[in-house]
Amino acid sequence: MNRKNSFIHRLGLCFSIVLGQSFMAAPTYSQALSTDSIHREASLSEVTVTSVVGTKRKVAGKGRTASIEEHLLQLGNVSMVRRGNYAWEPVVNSMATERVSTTIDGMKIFYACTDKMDPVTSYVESGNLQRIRLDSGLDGNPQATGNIGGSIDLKLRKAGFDAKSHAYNATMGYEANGHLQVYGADAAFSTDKFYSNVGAFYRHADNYKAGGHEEVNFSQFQKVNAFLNLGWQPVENHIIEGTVIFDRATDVGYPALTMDVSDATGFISSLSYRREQLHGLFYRWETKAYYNHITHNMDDTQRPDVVIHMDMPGRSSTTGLYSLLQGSRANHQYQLNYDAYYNTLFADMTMYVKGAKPMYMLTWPDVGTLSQGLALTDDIQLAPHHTIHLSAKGAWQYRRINDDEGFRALSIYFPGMERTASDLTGRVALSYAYRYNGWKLAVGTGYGSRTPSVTEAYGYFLNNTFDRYDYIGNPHLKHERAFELNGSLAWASETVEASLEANAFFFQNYIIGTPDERLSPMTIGAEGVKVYCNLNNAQIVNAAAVVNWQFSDWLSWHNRLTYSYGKENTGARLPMIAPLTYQGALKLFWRNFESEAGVQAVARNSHYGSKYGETSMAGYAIWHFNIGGHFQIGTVGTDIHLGAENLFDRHYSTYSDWNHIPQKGRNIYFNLSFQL
Amino acid sequence: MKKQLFNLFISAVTVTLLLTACGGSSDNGIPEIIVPDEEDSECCNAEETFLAYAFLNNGFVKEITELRDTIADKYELRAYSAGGKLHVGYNDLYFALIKISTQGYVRDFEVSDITPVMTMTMMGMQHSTPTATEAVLYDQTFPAVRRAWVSFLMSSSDGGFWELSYKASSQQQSITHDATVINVDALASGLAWLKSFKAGDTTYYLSLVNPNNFQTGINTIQAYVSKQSIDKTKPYLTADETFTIEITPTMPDMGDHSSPNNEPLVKQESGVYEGKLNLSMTGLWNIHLVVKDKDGNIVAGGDNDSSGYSSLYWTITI
Repeated sequence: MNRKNSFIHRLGLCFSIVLGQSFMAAPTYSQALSTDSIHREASLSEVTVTSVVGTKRKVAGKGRTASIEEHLLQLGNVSMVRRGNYAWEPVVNSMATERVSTTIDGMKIFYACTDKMDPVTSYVESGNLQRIRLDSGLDGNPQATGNIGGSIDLKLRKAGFDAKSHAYNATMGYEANGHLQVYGADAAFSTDKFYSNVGAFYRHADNYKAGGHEEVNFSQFQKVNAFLNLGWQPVENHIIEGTVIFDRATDVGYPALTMDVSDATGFISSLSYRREQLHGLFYRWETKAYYNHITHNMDDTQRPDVVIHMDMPGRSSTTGLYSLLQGSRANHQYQLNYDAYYNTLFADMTMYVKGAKPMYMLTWPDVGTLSQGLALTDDIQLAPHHTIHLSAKGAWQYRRINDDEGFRALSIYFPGMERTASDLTGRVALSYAYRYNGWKLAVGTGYGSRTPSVTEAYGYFLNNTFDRYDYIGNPHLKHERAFELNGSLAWASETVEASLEANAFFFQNYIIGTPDERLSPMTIGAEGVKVYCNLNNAQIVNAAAVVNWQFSDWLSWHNRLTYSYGKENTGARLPMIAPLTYQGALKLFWRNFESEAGVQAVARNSHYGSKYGETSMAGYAIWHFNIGGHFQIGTVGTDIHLGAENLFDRHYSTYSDWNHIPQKGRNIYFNLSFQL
Repeated sequence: MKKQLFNLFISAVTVTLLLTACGGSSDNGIPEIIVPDEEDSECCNAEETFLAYAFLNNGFVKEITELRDTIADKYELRAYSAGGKLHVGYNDLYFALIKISTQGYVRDFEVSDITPVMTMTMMGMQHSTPTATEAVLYDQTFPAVRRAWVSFLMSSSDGGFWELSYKASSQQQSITHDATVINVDALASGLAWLKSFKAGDTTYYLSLVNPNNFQTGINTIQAYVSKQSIDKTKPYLTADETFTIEITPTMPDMGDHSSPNNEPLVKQESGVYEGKLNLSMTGLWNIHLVVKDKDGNIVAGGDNDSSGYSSLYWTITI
């Protein structure tokens, strides 16, 4: 892939991060071109993907010791809601979990904490992954449903057949701020009939310090992760693959919340059959069955001044399958996917009062969701410079409240409500791109709907510590619909790459919590109760401008300016919309060394959602620097990185730091990895 | 046809029960079910017998043996309550008459003049309590069981004891069960199921029916409004006046969290007051009361306590 193309992200705004074994063993971030991307995904085996990105390496000094969230933050349209130093919630195109689909290798997985302490990205580890694919807006990956903001697919790292017969990796990282330690080791074995890779990771952090050496209490965490991938090819082109991931975080502090987490455990498994080199309409067929289970236990026993001690466990389990056909004919590249899953979400809360019977309620009333979907994508090369991308999905969903007590409790607030709901939703996206002589013009549109999340439909007295309201779901919600327009204009020469891109989402029946004065809160000290309801309409607009200069073979300057805007029909601003942000970096590549120095400057958050409890946040600028190198000592490859974040120890919070908890102050990090 | 099937079912149940009795401890306190093999005009038929048996032996109700009596040595009157116990506040009382010779349940009988009396030994005083004086048919489908209720003002203690007397009649024969001492337990601390208010010179009592049956969700709430008798040793009968009882449930441990859509208790034809009570979770609840007369004037509970709600309230836990 040449650099001209690689710079301009694809028409449908599909980004992917590659977390593979590049020669630096550091993740590189490529923004891949539309039809190329689809084609490449279809034809590359997992180990060779890195060769493509070798020519387009960017610096991310933490390599595999970076968390998934830090990797995600490298993507243009992603930001993070931070409730602590662990398990950040990805926000894509100014939309959070409810409007974003997250899958792991196409597998559906749902978080188990009613307070969003465990976005599903927290149940995998950088070392588990090869790539992260992000599709922006309504143009989702085939397994995605309900993706208005975008869809994230975490691609697992598999050794693959016919790769290096055996390879070993060891990684360690240390960050001075909070004494974060990361240790990881993995091994891969491969023949033409069999492959396996297995690994384990451990992370541990104490409380970090914000700028000015202020210790942020309850920001510690600890995590272990182990994975195993197996592949077997008994007959050529008939491939059976299996994956198991176990991930457990313990003693996780959430400084922005009133509780911590004693343990969050995820078990992820899959078994798939893949047929390659088919003749006819389709060249590949993959069917995967999967099961995953998450248990999540909150813990308030470490906190001082707990008025009422409570237990708040949550469980999520998902069983599903998908079957994907990929093919090409003439100038078409197409995919057809069927997927089905059944998920149950259960969460309850027991509050202990001295000398009285414990108070008990179900916060997620054991909701069973059965969903089936049929998706189609097609990339059409209309003429040498003209491409069209089309994707569509229809999904049918059936939901039932399985718990009697939970159903009875919700019935108080919605007398006569139905215990089951069945819905049809869908999305369709169409985009067109014209490329000529270094120029690329892309325009796209989409329309789609989503069903309310379990929290939005059936959540019961979920306290939001940000606006201090208790939230109740609303089983009578209508589907949220959105119409999307996006466009980009890009130009690239040998030395300059420049692009302007924007997307706009026009919502109908936008789902958000609004106060209901009639209702009395449950949480002591809460402002009141909000019930989810449909706003007539709302708009979200995101825009970015990028200019990169390649001054010479060894020096480049990267600039990115982003702006977002969100408003509801009353004119009030939506919450969690990023202020004007500039990111700039100078990058050096010299022989085996690389270095980066950069700044992130954020303007005052003047368009805050005051209606939703937001307050203005001051602007800030933070600087970072890192340097690293790769050394080959015999057969052992070594990578060393040293870097500093928040160089000037600035005390600051971003617009999406829950309850304005401060970010890390100056942080010096060091990491080291060996490959054999 | 249906009947035959039912009888078949009864037989199956009987066999099972007998087998169980033979195989295990036959002395486990559960009497054998006696299914009449021929029509006895005094006694219930097979279906009614089964239903009555199932109700009285379901493990929930147990006999209060102190209140057992016989009519002409031929019939045995048994009184039952939840767990065979009585407690402060509202209690259901069930009566069944058993024909001693056949152990069958007698269809027609009456229990009346139910009179609970508390003797306060220290103070040398006696008083009665809100009560239903006559037992009425409990369930249309089985005439063998009659129901009454007593709402005890206080528990038995060193300072006083409760006695209960009643009259019973069947087949033109009647008896008077003389006052026998019964034990009335106190409620768990913090609970209050019986409240009183004064309107003019009259003291009224608000007895909350079976709060132990409440659960999370929408509940039917029932209560009786009784009036203190002029002669305090006479049973306090339900008041003839018609009130409306507005309710607001709150959780004092949860910052007086409340629930919406509660419906006031209004008087039904049977004399019981009935409304809708919404409890959003388990735990301790105060049910704050505002009592209004038929013209809508507040007669009790108009004053708010520190919680901002009426100072007249029942306290329950679910």
